[in-house]
Amino acid sequence: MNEAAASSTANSALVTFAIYLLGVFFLAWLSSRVRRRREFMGEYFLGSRNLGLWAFALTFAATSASGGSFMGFPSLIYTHGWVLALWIASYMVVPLVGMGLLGKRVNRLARQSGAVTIPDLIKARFKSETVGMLATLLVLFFMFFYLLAQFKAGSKIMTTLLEDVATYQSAVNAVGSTIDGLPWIGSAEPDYVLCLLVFAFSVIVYTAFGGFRAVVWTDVMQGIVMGIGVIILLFLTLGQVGGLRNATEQLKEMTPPETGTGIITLGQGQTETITLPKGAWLRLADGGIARLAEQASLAKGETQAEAKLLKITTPAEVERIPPTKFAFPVSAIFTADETKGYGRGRKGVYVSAPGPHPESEDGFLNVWVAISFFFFWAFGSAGQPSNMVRLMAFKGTNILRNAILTVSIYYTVIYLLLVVIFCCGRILLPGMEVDSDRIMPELAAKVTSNAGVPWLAGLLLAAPFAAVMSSVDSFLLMVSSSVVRDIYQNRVNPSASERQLKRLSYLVTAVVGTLAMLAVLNPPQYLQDLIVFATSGLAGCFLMPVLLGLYWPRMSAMGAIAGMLGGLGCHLLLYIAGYLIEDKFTAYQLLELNPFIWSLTVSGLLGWFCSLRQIKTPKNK
Amino acid sequence: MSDSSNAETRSLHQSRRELWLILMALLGCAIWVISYCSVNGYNLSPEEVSTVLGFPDWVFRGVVLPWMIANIFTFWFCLRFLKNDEDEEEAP
Repeated sequence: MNEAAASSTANSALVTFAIYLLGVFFLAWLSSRVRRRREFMGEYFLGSRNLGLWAFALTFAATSASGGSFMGFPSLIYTHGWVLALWIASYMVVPLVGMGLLGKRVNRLARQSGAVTIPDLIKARFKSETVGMLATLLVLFFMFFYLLAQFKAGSKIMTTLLEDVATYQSAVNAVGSTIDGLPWIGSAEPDYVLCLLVFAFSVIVYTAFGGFRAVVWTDVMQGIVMGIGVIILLFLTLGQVGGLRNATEQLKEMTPPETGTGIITLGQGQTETITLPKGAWLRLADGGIARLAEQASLAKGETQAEAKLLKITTPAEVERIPPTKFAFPVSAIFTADETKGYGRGRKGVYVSAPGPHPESEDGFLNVWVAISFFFFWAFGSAGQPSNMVRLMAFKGTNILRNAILTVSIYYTVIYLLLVVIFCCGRILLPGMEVDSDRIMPELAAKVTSNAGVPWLAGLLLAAPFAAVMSSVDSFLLMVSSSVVRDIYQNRVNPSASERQLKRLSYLVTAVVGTLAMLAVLNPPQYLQDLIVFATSGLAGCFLMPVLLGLYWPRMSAMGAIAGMLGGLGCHLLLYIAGYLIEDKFTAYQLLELNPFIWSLTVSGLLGWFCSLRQIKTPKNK
Repeated sequence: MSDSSNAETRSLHQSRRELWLILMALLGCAIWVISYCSVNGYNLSPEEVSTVLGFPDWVFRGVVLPWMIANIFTFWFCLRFLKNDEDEEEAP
């Protein structure tokens, strides 16, 4: 992409982002006006249980589609090809399972008991303070990790999307000089700190001020932005690759690029330090072409430097890609890394399973992993407390019925089309493996620029903002409702006045958000893995006790406690085993199955067994 | 037994029927998708991959087609099988 196009795209991203934030604040203000006329707790944390079709459907869909859907998922499609259709395939039943499995029963019980939060609901079903408290602690424990990860994801997306904006770069420099030398945040990247501050401030303000209704209304807006963005991107991309058939035919002939080390040679020594930017294309001595996977610097007078390179191996691409023009001659000699990965030098890997992988001999998705993911997406969605709480808020079965239909169509549009779009993206943008998380903004900029409508990139780039924001706000409210309702109102001060609860809710939402922001100012390693840890942990602990509790009247409090603790224990045990065996923060994949499957099984069996045992004990007869 | 208790029992029974059908649908989709894709989609050379509407044939028959059928099933389930609770209107 040329500089003018990049600048135009960046400016349109900034303008869109500004308009988008204004819209979000307007909705928060509007929802606070609605709240004045209603009972505070039910309205602030549950929108008075009267969500209509569009609000319920889109808040459910948007909350589920986090930043990963628009950054991580496209990156995976780009890197591994059509096999991602199999990876995401269970989204064909996710709306049915995620909303239909628990929807009617959760909603009915919540209305009968007046429950406002999931721990509230669990406490009401099992008539046990202990179960309610355990649920609260689990929600707080896992949700805080989730919140940290989403805050970081939101900031990373902003830094990626705004990095070419001149005004933004000036602000980054100012932040850099301010934080330099400060403890804790001094070592963080200034662009990351700036984006985190803006992102966190916006989310905390509109969530604290607007409550559940603001979160739902902004989710609706965000859901619409995501849907429109994907459809526009589909048409532009398909048009520019000559149709899907043509794209698949080209993908068939592609072979995965090779990673390795390059000796970069300048034709002549320079009179000043030279920096070759990451992403620059270099002509190789053997006639091939490679992309710089990192910035390379040569001091004054030096003519050689070593840097990581990505060598393109598909002949048609080698011929098509011109090397980046510099004011001096540059060439490179490439030495490939020794890897045991799958797909090296093989045609057809992008159009077949298991998909190429640079390190794994089994490729990206072997059959066992595919089975695991099929059940993980479906049950994982049903077991998220942030989704369950939405099931407490719809008006009646008619709304549930239409919402399942709406979300089914919505997910078909979003997920199936994203696979199509980013498979085509491989053709339009070769060598993005050097920074595959940037494929979404790069593709948006490329196709809108090619189509002569660079301003449209702003709308497309709003989709990832929307995805992350719609998840963060929901998780923030979940954590704050657990503190205010489940701990303060239910345990500390049951006779708290509405005024006290109102002030505390604002305060807790703001404090929790600020704490999460401070915790990720200097982001810990493995944060992305924490998302998986929290998601699978929550579903593993909650799904079976809630499911059995709703459908099996004999499920007891003892069973629920055993189920939750069993799920938690199994989850932690697999992570500890994974850490000991692989020396990194990952779960041990027993029999190659996702650890969530094991937590779910253990949780269900323990819940069932302990309830049966309690029934058979004479004192409980 | 009171009316509300009867209504709760009937609601539970109907919800259980819906639950089993949802689980069967999930299992059916899993069997179709995983078995078709594992037999027809793995380790293919370019010559073995033909296209249907631009999709690799194993993706079309193993993912896109069941996805569309799952959507049709979802429509049927929601419009015909998912029932309102009889006491829904009176719920507090």
